[in-house]
Amino acid sequence: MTDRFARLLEHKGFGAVLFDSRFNIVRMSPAAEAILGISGTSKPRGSFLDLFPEFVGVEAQVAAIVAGKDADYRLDHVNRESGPGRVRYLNLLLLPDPAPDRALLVIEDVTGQALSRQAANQKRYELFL
Amino acid sequence: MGLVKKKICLIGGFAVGKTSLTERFVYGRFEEKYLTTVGVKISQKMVLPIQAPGGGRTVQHAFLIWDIAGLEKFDHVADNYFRGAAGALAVADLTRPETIEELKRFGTRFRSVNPEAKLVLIGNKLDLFDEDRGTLARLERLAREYATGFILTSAKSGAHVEEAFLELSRKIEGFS
Repeated sequence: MTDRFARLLEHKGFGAVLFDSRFNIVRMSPAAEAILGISGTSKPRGSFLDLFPEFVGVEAQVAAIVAGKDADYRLDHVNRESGPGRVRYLNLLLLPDPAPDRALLVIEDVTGQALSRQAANQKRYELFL
Repeated sequence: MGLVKKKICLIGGFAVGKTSLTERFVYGRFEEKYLTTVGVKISQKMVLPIQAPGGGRTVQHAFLIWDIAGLEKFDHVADNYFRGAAGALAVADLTRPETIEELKRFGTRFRSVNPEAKLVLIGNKLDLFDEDRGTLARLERLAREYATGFILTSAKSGAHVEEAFLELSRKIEGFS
């Protein structure tokens, strides 16, 4: 991840997680830690798939991103519990990294937008029930 | 005995009970109030061990359960929700027969993304069902189209919910 790109992500409030071809987390930005609710004192250096089970089952696609063969892989509105009865909605975007054998996960917290959509859908669907 | 992690999906239209089935199976609880899902909720749960017919090998699945919103349109983002799944519970609401027809849309798209994945059809809200034969016939017909079976469940009472996930586990391993 270039410094310029890291600054851009930080400016937009996006989290960034860098991992390698063995799916080990190499680096995590403070914004990612904040979004995921991970304390700065216990920074994870574990398995990417343990922290992001959303990518279990698509390891081949993730490996293709790490190898730079695929351009991106996207999951929108992933619900993550962030406390009792509270949910955060995250958009996850996997990108190849300029460094060899690395990929970058960009995390965007879209909770506000998702809650608006949830409220609108709720009203609409209740009309049909 | 092997413990195997598998991604599975719950698919179907809005308000058929996908979230309620997941909540019942994973946490043993039921919420009366309907709250529509946006995006996808992922839960994890170990399924009971299963054994191949004739006393063969035993397998236990740790299911990563993708409870997917009742999508109105399919695009590559929706396909990514389905991608990599070993199977799906395709859920219809027994009190709204039109949701059975809607399952065709979901089942076809799911199978196009995962041609080898297994499907089990679910007729949910058994506690509210008046045993209408036409509804059962439609479910049976769709199950035949997908070369699978169907199970009637009630997320509210818990009836046959565990059995539905267990049946999907068996189908994934080719045990039924």
